Amino acid sequence: MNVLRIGKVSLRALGRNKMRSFLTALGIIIGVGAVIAMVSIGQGAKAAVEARFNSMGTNLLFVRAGSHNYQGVRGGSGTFTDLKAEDAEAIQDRCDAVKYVSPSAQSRAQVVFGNKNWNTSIQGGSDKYPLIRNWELTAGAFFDEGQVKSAAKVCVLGSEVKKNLFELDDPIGQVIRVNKMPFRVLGVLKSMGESGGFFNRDDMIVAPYTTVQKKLLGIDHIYSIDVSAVSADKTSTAQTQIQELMRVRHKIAPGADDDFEVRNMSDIAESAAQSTQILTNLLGGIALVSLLVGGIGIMNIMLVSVTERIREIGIRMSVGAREKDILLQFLTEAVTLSIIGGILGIVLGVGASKILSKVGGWKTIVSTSSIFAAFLFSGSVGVIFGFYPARKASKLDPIEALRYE
Amino acid sequence: MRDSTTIRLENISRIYQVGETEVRALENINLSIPEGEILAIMGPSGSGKSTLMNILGCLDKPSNGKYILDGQEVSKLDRNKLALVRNKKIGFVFQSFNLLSRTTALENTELPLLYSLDIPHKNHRDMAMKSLALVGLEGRELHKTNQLSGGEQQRVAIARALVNAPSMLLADEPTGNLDSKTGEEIIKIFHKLNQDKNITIILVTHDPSIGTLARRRIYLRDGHIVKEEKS
Repeated sequence: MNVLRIGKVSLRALGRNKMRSFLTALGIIIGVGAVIAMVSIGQGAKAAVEARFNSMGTNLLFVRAGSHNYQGVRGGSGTFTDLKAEDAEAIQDRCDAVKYVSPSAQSRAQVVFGNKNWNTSIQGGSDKYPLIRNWELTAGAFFDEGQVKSAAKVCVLGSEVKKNLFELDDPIGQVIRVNKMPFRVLGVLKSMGESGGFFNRDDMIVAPYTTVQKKLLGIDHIYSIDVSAVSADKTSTAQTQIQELMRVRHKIAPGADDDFEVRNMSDIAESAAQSTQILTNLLGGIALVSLLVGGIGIMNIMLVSVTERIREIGIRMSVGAREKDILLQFLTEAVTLSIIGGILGIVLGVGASKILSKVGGWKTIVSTSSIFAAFLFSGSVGVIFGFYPARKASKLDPIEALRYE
Repeated sequence: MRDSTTIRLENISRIYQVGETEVRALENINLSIPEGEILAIMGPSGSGKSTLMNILGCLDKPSNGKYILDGQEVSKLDRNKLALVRNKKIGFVFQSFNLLSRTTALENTELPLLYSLDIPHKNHRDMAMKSLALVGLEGRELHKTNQLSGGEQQRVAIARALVNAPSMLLADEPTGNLDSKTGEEIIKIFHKLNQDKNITIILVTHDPSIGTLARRRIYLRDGHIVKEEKS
């Protein structure tokens, strides 16, 4: 009795109860579909995060005033204000793994042009800022070193701000009001695109950090220093150099905690990717539970089916079916159900993730490995949950089975 | 060496354990059935004839004693080996036909071949067709069992029993669910098969009129053979 012919017997048995077979397979269809759709959402989110960080450049480093490692002892506001523009200059001069440095400070403000106004963030940086951030301009120019030194009231617009204040008009040379102060527009940044989640990188204005410091915030320290290493693989060297330099400059005794924090983009990207991976696992895990429930459904129906067909099993045994023939017959039925369910579930899952990305605007990625895994898993669900009923059938006593009414 | 004896039972006993008590369904049965015989096993219900039939049909194993079928001792075989013996050597005909429902006569007849280890698949259909022809069902092969009359269903069962060219046919009240005229036809088929093919036939029945059609009759009571007749 070969497997092909057993398959035929099983298919016919399933065909006799089409509605029941479909409802049984539905558990697997939904389970597999859910796994594929959920994992595609998770992987889409992960890819979006990775793409976003990659577009920022993997050789980026940030120096921030210390805001971690409080055990109730430190934590005065003084620790936030001791990062100065001079620190940035020192890093530029003394660390040879560092390429560009820009002090950075941010504020939010209402910006006005003519009868339009818009609330946006004001990013302060040096003239090196676009080089560090890989920014490009669609029009005009960035501010230069002299304008940074003189804290000139000039700015470059993000594409979203440009759209909101100027629509299709040319903003170059126009004067907008930021917190009622006049700022001359020098250029417009190329759109960096929405990258899901965090914040819109096109919705901001860039101005010299000195201007943001003195005119908008009224402080003499800076919030952070953005640094680019000479290359991506020099990032950790640059990090060490900065750390050593900063400890000397800030006179931190050996063994004492840093009052600053240096992080590099690849670490940040990695931790962000990790958190989206956790999301993926969580979603997939929940979906797996529904696949398990589908498996229990198969087991339930197979047990019913065995009971209904005890007489048939007895007949088959009386004409010479061995235990393994009966076992194989019922196991094949269960596996057929789960594999058909798996295939339909893949179709459902791929369709659902397509619809989610179309309608919901979520980036989804259906990977072949998740399809393969879901298919394999649904097959194993059939084997695992079909085995007990099939074994029960194969262990029946032929005399009892033939007598069964 | 194979002798002309198909079946030899030596001191066969079958004891069931029901709770604390032992039920001796069969005790010290000695029986020899030569090839080509028609034997009727008779007796009232509870006499042990079903138990004897189950043992003869390799559906059950004796508690004690030896059962030799076609020169092979089958009383020591396990479940799966017994299944193979049933497949090759024994054809069953039951009172309630025991055909697969919603399945054609042909497929029912092919069923034992599905479980045979040595008959190639391409021969199955021909063998089943021939077997159905032997019981006079040409032209009805593709009818489903529920479209057939009782007598026709029993003939399908006989065709199924014959398909593997077994050493014996074991018929358990084969006419019990049929009217007397159809019953006679079925018995005629048995006789014809016995004469034409020299197949050993064992009929289990409590109906004396069927029993007299056999050449030899044994009577069971309380697990013992109490009488033997020949005609």
